[in-house]
Amino acid sequence: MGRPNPPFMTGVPELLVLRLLAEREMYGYELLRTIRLASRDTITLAEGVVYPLLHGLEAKGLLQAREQWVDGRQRVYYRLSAKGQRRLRELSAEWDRVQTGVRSLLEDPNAAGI
Amino acid sequence: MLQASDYPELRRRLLRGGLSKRRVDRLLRELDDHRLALRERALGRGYERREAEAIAAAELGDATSIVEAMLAQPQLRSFSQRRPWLVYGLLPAWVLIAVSAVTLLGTWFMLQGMGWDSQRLRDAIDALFLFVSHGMLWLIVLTMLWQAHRMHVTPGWPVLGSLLTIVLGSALTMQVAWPGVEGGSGYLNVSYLYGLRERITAAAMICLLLPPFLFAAWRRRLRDANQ
Repeated sequence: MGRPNPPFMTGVPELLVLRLLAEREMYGYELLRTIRLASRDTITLAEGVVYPLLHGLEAKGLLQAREQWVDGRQRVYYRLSAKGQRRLRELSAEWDRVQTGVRSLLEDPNAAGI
Repeated sequence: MLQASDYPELRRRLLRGGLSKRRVDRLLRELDDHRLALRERALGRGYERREAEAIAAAELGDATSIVEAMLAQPQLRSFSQRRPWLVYGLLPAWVLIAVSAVTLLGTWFMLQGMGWDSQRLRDAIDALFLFVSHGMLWLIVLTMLWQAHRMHVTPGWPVLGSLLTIVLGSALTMQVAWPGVEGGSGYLNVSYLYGLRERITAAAMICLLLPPFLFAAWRRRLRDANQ
């Protein structure tokens, strides 16, 4: 078990899921493992709760799902839709803006001359 | 902690929350696939089967978090749950009108093509008109109430929709006046008359259909409140 995610993580799971699915299609378990590995265990999403997120994004038209039989199990693969790609660009830009702002504040809180 | 034995309860809670059966079943398949993957990983680490099952169930989380996360997203609810006024309030009456209109138009085109003289065609059309005039109303209202009960819809809109459909449908009469002479033309007639017979039909339908539905809805509500 990794450390729990900090409370300011709201919205970040959506960004991470969209970013990873922009690379290739994945199913839920694979997606969570990839997030964990790619973030070097910094970010862990709750195992079961990733599915409501995926279903929600699919219902908004940001993801497309297809089912496939693998080793006798019916597995659902998700991939990014065109709308999802636009959403990913928006979220990435928003994240960059926030990250830049927070970093500049943390590095030099007096830069604004307060 | 989510185990395979919790799936029926999880399914019931999600369906009661207004999610479509298709979506709920897919979610359960995904959760089960995930649980098996977690169990395989635990087995690969050298745990016994029972320990691996427990680890997988613990890692998967609890049913309540999943239910809350699913139901917090209105876009996941079925169309009939998001717009009950349309599906249960207006659609049944609209379907009745549409069926009678389509039947009338279809019959008219058929008679134009095949003529009015075939006795077998006459019998078939008489039977069809009789069914649309009388049987269709029952079929629509019963189907709608059954669906509302199955989908755990609150009774308001289904009851209003039933009343509207019954009042409209019991007044619907479709008739054919066949020509008196061979080679002649008759006419098709659709009317909405509200005489004594229609009032009795409407009252009988309301008495027969709505009380059992309201009773079932009340019992379900009571049961849900006690849980």
